[in-house]
Amino acid sequence: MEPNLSVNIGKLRLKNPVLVASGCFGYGQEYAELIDLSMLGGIILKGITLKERKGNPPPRIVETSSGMLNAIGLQNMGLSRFLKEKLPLLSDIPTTIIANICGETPEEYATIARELSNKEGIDALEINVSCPNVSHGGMLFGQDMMLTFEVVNQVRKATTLPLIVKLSPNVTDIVPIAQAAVDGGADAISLINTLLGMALDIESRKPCLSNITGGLSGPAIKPVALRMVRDVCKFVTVPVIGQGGIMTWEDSLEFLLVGATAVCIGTANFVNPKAGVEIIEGIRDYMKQRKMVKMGEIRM
Amino acid sequence: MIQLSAKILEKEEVACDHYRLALDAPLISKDAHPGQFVHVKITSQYMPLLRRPFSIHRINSSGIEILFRVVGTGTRLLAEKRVGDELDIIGPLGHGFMAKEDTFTAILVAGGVGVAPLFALAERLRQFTEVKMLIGSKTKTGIICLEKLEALGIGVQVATDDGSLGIKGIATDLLEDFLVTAASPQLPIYGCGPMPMLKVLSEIAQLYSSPCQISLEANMACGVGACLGCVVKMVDHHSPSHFEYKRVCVDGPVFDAKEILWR
Repeated sequence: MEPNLSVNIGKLRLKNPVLVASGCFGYGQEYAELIDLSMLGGIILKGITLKERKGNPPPRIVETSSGMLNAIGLQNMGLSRFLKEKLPLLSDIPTTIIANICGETPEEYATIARELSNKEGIDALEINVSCPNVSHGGMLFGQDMMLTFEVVNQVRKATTLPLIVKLSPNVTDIVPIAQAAVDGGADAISLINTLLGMALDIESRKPCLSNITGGLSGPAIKPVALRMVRDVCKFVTVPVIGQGGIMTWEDSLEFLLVGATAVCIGTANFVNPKAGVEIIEGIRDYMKQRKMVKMGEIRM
Repeated sequence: MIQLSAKILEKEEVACDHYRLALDAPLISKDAHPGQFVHVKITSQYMPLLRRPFSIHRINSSGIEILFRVVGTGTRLLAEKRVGDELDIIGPLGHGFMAKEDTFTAILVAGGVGVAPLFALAERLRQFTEVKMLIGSKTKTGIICLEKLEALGIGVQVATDDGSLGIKGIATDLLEDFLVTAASPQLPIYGCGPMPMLKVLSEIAQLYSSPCQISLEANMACGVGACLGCVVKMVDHHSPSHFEYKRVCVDGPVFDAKEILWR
């Protein structure tokens, strides 16, 4: 019997549990020539802010041991240009589309959420309270229980779209933050965003990134991500989307085993644009071999 | 744009630490233009993790060639590959040179391994116009492709910092000398090389009202415009701050020199 890979994230149904991560897949079309986008469980769009953001000066990325640091600084065209220029292209992509939103105040998050509601082409929202590369908002919210609650609660009042809250690993204990997001009205939690880090060039004696610090991603962070996903899965009652360093289907299975309902592929897309599609095939084969028919059977 | 596994057909050490690889990739070469690049996965291991972008050095029916200098871990590993090995590559990527079919002499200015993409451009341009190539390097061992260019009938002039080959000086000195004596004004200039050289090149082009296209290089992650990691600061007449960050991978790597905000 062919296994059924579909999963539910609150009222959002994904055809399979493999999403591609915000900031790692543009607006989808960037990869349309390289893979069949309809194969993916869903696409999480590049973060959207109310106003245009130019982003940080270059250099913005640097490779590190089995990973990379980035400090893009949420460069994006802003909400109004997004609605005009990108939204019309999204309804042509035959998979679930999740918009990632980021604000400097809880009200700003709510405004963006309201504007993205009831728009054809947007199926859910991911609230970004975890970007480490901006001076206002982003991770500052996600490092505080009360602020996390406040942002999520305001967004919850502004929209009926399914809400996913993306958390930062740069906290002492992620579990109370996850619970605050759930209390605020989150339908799902996604974690982890990147780990704050830095790298230096010993020749120039300067940091490699103009922003000095950046977010670490890639296979180097997978053990940290897995531990945090397990902690959150044990505690919260809503579905969890696991991410952080997933490169292969084997990696994704570790996240599913500890209780994640779905997984998200970030840096791996840069290394191999086919990663998401190959991971879906890998999960399917694993289930077939073990005669599993639905996703819930994977969890240990 | 396509992702495929390309066999290495030829490998040549063209100079100390400089290698040329011919890759079996007709599906890429059929759509490739001079100035475009390919994004190469050098190892299936996680170190180095990211692909490396290489400008397309030559385009022919069987595939493409890349020409690179060993500068770090990625290029060192690539230099160890053998004929017959397979490379996972994506291409052709980016916007290449706009090669206008006019009668003016085209001036190509290369710094060091910057000759790599200009070679493909020279091969294209020479079909309908006179091509002049000016190459600069620290010393004579860094002057590559000289004989091959001359064999194509391209006039080449060389400058080295130490005077070990050609004039003692830099590539842009050759350019100024050439433009001062040029019979016709506003000759199109195409450049690739280190940033300080390109900055001077762009200033000279402006002085002589020459259209100038330059190919930039940047650290890249995705190579397809998704990650915004490879940006350069460009003029934006519509923005209140008069600048915007553009992606080297899809908005470039070839830009109009006038649009770049030099530091």
